[in-house]
Amino acid sequence: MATMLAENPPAVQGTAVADLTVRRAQEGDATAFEQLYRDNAGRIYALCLRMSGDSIKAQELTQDVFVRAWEKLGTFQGGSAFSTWLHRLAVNVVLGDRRSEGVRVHRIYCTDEPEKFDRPARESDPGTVMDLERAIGQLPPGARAVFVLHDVEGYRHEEIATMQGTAVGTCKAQLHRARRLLREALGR
Amino acid sequence: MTHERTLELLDDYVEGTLPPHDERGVRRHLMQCDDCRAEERELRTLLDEAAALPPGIQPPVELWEGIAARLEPRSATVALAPEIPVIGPRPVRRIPWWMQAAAAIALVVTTSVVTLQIDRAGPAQVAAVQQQPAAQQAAAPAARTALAAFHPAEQEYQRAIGDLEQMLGQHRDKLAPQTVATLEANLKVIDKAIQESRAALAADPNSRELATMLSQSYDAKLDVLQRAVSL
Repeated sequence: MATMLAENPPAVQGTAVADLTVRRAQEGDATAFEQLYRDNAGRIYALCLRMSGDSIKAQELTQDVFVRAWEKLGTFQGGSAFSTWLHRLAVNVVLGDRRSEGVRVHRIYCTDEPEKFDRPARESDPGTVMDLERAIGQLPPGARAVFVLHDVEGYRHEEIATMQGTAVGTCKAQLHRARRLLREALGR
Repeated sequence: MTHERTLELLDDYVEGTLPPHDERGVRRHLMQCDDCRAEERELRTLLDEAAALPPGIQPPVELWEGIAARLEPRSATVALAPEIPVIGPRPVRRIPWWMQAAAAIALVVTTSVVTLQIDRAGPAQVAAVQQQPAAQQAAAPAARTALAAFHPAEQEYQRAIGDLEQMLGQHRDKLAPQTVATLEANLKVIDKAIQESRAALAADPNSRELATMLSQSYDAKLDVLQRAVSL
């Protein structure tokens, strides 16, 4: 797993006190786990929200991430910061959920011709000024996932390709498309 | 390099991942082409904005309740606890040598106390505490309760905690406010756990499991204080 971590991973909460909280949660202390939730929920929810583009879905995904984290806490051995481990787990949960959505998403991830799956023209007024968050939310799912992971969260193409089970070239094509669509949406 | 080829390579160029030959070609073209320079500027602006997005967005406050409702108790881990409550701090990391020495001394002292209590209790009573199920212990009034056996160790814990709190108080103002806040939050959680375990053990004084939980809570508090002192 270590080889799959981002070179500039999410912010590290590497205090000794946090280490202790993790250990107590590993021993089954739900109160300590709640503290871990309080410390990390914002970052995980932001990831889920940006990756899914849907606040209801993001809440479901955030719940799934923390339930999975509770179940897998025993496998965390402190090789990285807990926040890094949790973030990686969250990416896997979100990508796994997207895979399970069905064939359409699978085709988006695996194609080398992502333009084929562009959405039809959006209905929004082209003169409307959109902030970046809203624009990200309107990206096609595949392009959005790659943009969030690469340009917001700092994962490398090779890591994203490995996580998604696609070629690096596919990942780069998705990112190029995402950036182009975002600039269009932002009126640039 | 052509205009089209430059635009094709612009993503890799701004990421700094182009081979030297292509990088030189793109740079040369950018010096000559206003349109491509504008493209590059816009792309860099977008990337700067993406990198500057807030790392966290707070979810609705009620989200935790949904998570808590789905958490299965993990009693298997607790079942790994030893037969007699573990006394003294657990192994810790990043602790100066003198703190490790202090921890070792504390371990010796508290272990001695427990040993002394076991010796006083006599082999028959120890066997009763260690081997009998809780229900059978309750039916044997002559046997020493887990609460009574833990009492001397608890006094040692409280003495050690008092010493560490005093040491912490001496350099508390040197800690970052965020660290102090985190420390206090953790201590609050642990104190609550101690309080609850203590109350549960008082209600069920024969429960070795509750004594273990109380001991673990004290361990946790000692651990936090030791780490805070070593910061």
